Amino acid sequence: MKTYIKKYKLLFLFVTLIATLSSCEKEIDVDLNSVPPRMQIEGIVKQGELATVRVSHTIDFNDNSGYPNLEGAIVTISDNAGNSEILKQDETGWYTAEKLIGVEGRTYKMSVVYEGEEYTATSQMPPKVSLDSLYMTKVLVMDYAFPTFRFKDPAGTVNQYYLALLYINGKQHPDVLDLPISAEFMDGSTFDETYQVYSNDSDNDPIKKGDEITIEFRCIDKGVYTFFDTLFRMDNFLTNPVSNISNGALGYFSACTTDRKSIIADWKD
Amino acid sequence: MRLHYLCSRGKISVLFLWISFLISPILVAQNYTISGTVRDKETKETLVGVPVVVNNLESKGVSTEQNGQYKLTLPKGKYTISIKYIGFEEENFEISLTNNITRNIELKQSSIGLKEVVVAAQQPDANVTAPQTGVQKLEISEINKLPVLLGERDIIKTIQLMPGVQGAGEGSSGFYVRGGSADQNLILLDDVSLYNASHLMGFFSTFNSEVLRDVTLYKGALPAQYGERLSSILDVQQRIGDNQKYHVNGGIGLISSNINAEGPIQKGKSSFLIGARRTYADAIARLSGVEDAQNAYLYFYDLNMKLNFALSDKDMVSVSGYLGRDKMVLKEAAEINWGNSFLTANWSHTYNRKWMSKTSLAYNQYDYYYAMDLGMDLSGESKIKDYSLKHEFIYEHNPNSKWRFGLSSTYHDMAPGDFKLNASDQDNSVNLHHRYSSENSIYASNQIKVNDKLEIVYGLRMSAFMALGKGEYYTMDANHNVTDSVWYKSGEVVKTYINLEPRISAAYKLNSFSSIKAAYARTVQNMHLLSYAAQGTPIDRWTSSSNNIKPELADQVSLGYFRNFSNNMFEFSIEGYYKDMQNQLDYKDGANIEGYDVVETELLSGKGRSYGVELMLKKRTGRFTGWISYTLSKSEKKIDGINDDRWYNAFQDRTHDISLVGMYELSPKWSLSAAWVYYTGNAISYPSGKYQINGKDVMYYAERNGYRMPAYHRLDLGATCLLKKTSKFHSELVFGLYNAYGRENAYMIEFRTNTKDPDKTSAYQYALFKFVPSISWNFKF
Repeated sequence: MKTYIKKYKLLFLFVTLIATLSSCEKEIDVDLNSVPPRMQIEGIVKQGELATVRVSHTIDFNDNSGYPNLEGAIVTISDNAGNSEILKQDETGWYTAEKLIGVEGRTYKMSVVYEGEEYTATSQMPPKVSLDSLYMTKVLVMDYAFPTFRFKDPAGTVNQYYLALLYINGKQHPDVLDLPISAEFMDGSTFDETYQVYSNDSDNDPIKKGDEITIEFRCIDKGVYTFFDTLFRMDNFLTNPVSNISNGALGYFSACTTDRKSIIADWKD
Repeated sequence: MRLHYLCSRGKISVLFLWISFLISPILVAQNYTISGTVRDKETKETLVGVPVVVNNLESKGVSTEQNGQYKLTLPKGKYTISIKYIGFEEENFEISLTNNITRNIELKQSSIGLKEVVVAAQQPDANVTAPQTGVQKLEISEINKLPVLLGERDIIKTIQLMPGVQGAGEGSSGFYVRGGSADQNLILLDDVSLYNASHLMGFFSTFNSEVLRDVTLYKGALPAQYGERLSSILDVQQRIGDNQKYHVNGGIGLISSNINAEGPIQKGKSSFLIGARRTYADAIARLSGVEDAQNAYLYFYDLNMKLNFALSDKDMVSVSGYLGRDKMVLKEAAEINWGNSFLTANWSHTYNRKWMSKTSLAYNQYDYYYAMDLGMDLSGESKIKDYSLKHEFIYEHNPNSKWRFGLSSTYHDMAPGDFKLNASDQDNSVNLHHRYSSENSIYASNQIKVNDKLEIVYGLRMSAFMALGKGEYYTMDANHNVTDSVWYKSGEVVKTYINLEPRISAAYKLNSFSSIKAAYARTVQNMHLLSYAAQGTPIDRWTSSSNNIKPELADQVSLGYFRNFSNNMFEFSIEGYYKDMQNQLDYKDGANIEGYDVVETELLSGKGRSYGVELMLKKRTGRFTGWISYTLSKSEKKIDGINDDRWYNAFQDRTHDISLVGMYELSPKWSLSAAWVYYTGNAISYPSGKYQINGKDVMYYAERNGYRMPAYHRLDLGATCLLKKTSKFHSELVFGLYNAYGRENAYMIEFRTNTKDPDKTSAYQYALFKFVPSISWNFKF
């Protein structure tokens, strides 16, 4: 589905273009109501890596003291191969497994009990699909090039959903959203997926020549795709992304494979 | 729920029958009629809305109809008939009425008048006397005096200065009427509905005002001949070309130019009118070296056409057409274009003094296309095609009672999306199912003068909407998951919705200068627009009522007091309304409506209500003219599954809306104008908090539309300098200044990671257009 979503981006690009002719951006103060915090969980079981879970809650918009890591939660991850482990909180604040690692094809279940409430989610790790290549694509109207990555979706419905994360010199850019991709309408195709990178900082291009560009490529299940897809589009509707965790918790629980590729950004002007 | 509809509908129909029974038996004394056509002596063009007044009888008069015809019925006797019309010399004549007579009138253009300033359309006291409530008629001459927006006169921008009508704001298409959404307005050009009446994301409207005759907006009780939308009808009519002489007029401006030509095809019998418009701001930006514009194209064009043939004294045929297209291109990367187009033929026939008929056939299309070439080629297109037939009889039973009967039928063929995605090794395409439907109606209405004080328009419309095959239709469970699907063959009826729509509007004259008007109407809407963003975009998806989507229904009551002062120099009105709406649609959280056949799963439906008070004070005549309008209103929705099932403000809910408009004729050479608007910001969702996903800030929303955008206000100034005016050539320079004091009105407010300090989050406001000056040179010969 993601390919269609480009349309919004496209339209946004045109609006930006009209806007650059005569628009102005300014930082403003908005008086926002404070609401009770809502539970938020981020759980990941990557292939061959130890399971990790972050337990947190929402904070006020104007609170810039950092996001809390909640202590005292009972975090359990189990899989359909009979493994189960209670995760311990480490010094970074994340709850981390000591033994339980991600395996292709297995279904994982997460349970988080905090202050008497239980939040659960399940996620299945799809078979791995690797990246074939990564290259830069220069568009006339942009001053810099976008990264394009290539992969081939296996025919059949086992693999359908992917998530790409972009790192520029090892860091994520705050204005660049993680890119959800669906092969629902392109089953078995080779994708040349261009990561459109825009920044709100008009003084600094987000990608410069010589930057190290890394794509982290994950195979995800449908529930996780829905979360990242609705997150990607939330500026249009101003509603919360659809979580795959029960009991009203925000966030996601994902069992996924990962692959990475890096290049040094360069292009012909 | 369903039972409730039936009950309320039943009650209303009974009430209706009762009213028609009560007022129909009205006896008329021995009367004769004088009738005829009013024409321009020079051009032979029929003149619409010309007041024909009987001097001997106070306030006895009529205005000419759409075809220039008038008819007066009077008791036997001698009368002086007088015709005073702006831009023409006064015409008086005496008649002795002893039998029915026909008298055609030709008016001579006055030396001070120009044709475009004479397209008046109302009697001077129409504010008080017209029985239809909630109607705004705009004179093109009035629009011509207002400040220009980006060098163009724009009727959509002008109606937004009226009470109860609110502009959707900069960079967004459409307008809101009495708390309704933008898709609840039916916009008609020569009786054909336009699905998108805006160019360049709403900065221009699809209407080239140079080819228009008049504009009427019905925002209250719609007359029974109109339907298909919940909130309003904007009825825009193109002019009929001059059938005597050739004329060319045009305008050359910084942003756009237009050229229009008209003249006889066969002198005295038939005429043509064509108009063309094109913007080229992008080309100017390119030429002046703006870097962002070098590889981008952004423009629109439109073409208007009207041919008119008087086949006989009794038969008139006209053919009109429109073609408009917007294009946005980023070279070697992307393109979007969209547009309306239609062709319609209209035949009006006069049988005798009492009967007249109008028949029209139309083909109408709206489509958009986009393509992208980034890594992979992607393209998509969507198209709506309408085929429609309308037939109407107008019957004047007697001078105090006029009937309309009619039927209309439209076949909709909607292709929501055909997509092509070309990967290096495989071409993929997705063609969403077409949706077919048939929208039909029959109606009858009667405008009746019960006595000197009371005049009523009442009518009944029955609409029948049929969702048709071929196509797959779905069954959903309570959680909006598809449980089953059924394939319907071509033409097979999937679901029929029949609705009765009673309409009544009455004016009671308290005295010759004031009246009270009241109205009730039910309206039904079967075509629904699903917008990708709150402000609306040209690529929004239209969908029709189906087995899962019910027709939207609205019941509106309104009551108003109307008063004119100083011999109709000032008009005052105050009108209150309450509108109850059913089956209002909104998205569920995280909805995805693009690329899928099934949209029902993404929608929730519930109820809505809106109410408000509208005030208007207008000075109609003199060197200084203008108006003040003020609207105090509320518009809310309650939909299970949204905002914890509580009432929430509709996006278009605006508490206060004020317009101040002034026009001043400084000298014969210079005229000045100013317009100031102020309104409460739209209701919008702001985040109630934030959290983090993959190390990035994500906003947390706890309520729907719980906040307000900052208030919007803006002053526009205009000046017109008449350069040359002779009977052969006329030219003027028009200056405009949009947003004169440079108010930075919020177009969008974004909550995100601070650009300078990634550990903070901040709110950013975006504004478009501070001070936009424009100059254009208009000519006519």
